[in-house]
Amino acid sequence: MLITDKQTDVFKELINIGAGKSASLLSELINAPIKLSIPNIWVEKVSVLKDKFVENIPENFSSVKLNFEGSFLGLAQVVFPFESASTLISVVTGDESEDIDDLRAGTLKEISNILLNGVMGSIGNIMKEKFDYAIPIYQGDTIGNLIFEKNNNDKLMLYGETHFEVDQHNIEGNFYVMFELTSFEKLKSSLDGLS
Amino acid sequence: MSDSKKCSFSVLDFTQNGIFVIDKNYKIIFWNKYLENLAGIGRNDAIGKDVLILFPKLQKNYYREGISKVFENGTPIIFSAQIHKYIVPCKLGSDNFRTQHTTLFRVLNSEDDDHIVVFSIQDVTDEFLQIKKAKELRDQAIHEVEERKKVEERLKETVKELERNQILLETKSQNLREANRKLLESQSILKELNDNKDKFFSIIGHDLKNPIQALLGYSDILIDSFFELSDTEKLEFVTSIKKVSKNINNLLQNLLDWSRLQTGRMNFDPGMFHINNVVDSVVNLLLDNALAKRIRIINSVPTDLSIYADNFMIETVLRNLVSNAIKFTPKGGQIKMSAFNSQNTVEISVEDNGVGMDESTLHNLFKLDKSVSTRGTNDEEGTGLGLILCKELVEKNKGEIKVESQKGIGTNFRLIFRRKPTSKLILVENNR
Repeated sequence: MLITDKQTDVFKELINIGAGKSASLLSELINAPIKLSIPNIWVEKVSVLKDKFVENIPENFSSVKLNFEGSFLGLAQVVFPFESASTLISVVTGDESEDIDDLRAGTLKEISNILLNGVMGSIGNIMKEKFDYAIPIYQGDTIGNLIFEKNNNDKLMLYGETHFEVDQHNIEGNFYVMFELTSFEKLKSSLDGLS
Repeated sequence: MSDSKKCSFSVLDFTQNGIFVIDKNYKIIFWNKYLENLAGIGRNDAIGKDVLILFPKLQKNYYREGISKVFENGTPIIFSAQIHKYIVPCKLGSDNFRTQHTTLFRVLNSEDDDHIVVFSIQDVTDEFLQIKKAKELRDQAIHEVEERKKVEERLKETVKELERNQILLETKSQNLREANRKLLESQSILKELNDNKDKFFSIIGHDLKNPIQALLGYSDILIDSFFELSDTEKLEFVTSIKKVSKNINNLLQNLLDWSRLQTGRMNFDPGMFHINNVVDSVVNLLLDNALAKRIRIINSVPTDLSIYADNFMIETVLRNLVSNAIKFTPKGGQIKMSAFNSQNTVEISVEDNGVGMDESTLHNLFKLDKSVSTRGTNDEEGTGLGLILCKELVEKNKGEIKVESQKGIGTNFRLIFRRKPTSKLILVENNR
């Protein structure tokens, strides 16, 4: 067993708190209640999960990705179905366009960055860890390509996923937080320290 | 962008983004060349300045907290073009500012190992304007398409309205034509009725008045000079009175028949009967008149020949025709009555060798309004009503009357009737 049930529960709680903070920020931003699901946790090779995601969800998605380094290596990501992303931009800006051009992508990047900062800020605070962040990146692609880096097929990773919905505006999306195995032992001891 | 990666500012002069850097005291410590051109603020004018004073917009809580978080947590911050428009005000024309997408991130200063924050400003004015223009064009196109659709809808509605009006117009026109046709019909009927009325009054006023006046004249003479007149003279007057009375009687009979026919009160009772019997009856009735002019009447109608018609009406017709023939045949003349059958019809002929008629008289023979009474060879009087009555009675019996005449040679009246009733007629008769 790569990760104990206890460690899973702690990580799940960590993701839950981070996603909760982020959902609270989003709710404030668009003035609407957010429904948050219980996080899913996996420890799998990239290739295994990628196949599963590609098979299950074939549509196009919009994503903003925040890579981080430091004590742990990984990335935080928020992924929206294309229509949800467009609706979110429209709700925030009042611009009713349906497509996502460079300007609207910039807006989505700002909104998503606030949400990702909420997730990672909470996680970092609880873990008492400092992360170094890259500049957020906007991508539009299939969910499989968005979540899983092309060259990381053999990497073992710890995934946390939380689904959120905004019924009032018909918006939905997922938060993902992923940690690489290279920092796995340290991560496990860090999680043990939190339990 | 790890803290271990230390920043060397000089390379930032070669990027196509506006970049400036602030230290932990919010003092500007680097201002790149691109930004000098973009903002119109020289490096020397910017460096050392407090960024919150140089750009007062950043004094707002949202920006101050954002910058603070970048310093504290190292989480990058984005001020997107759509939401913030710009961070560093760069003039665009007289009233506007250039649009910017700004990213803030933390790095470690290589000189003093302190955190500094980099403002990376991407000028997206051109994209913004292009997108704005594209959206305007798209909206305009959508508007035009919608307008066009509206025009097309209106056009379709107009065409439908026109079609509805056309149908309405056609219906009205048809109604008008129908009304016009009825009007013409009514006019024709009215004219016919008027003609009938005129003729009726003419007969009453003239044809009936004259003989009655003659009767009165003869009677006056007889009363006034009864004892002075010889018996022979008295007989002449009485004979004249009888002759005139007979004419009046004929006239009244025809007038009565015609009137009944016109008003639909004449009984119509068709059936099969032998013509010869009717011809015999007519000849017997008019024999005295014929003998008075020594006219020979030949009845060569076959005894077994039958027609389908109203017996009384046909007798009236034949009586009028024979009476006319006697009237217009000089003394010693001849009237021949014959009949023969073809496949479905029977033709009866009344032929005389009398005075005959010219074309004009022939042409107006059966027309009430043109009909003129002509005196006979023995000065017999008439009304012209007889032939008109004949024609109407023949037609009432689905027959046909034809006449051939030559001035000075004679006249031949031909009556053509059905031999048997049509099946439809039989059915009607049976139902009755």
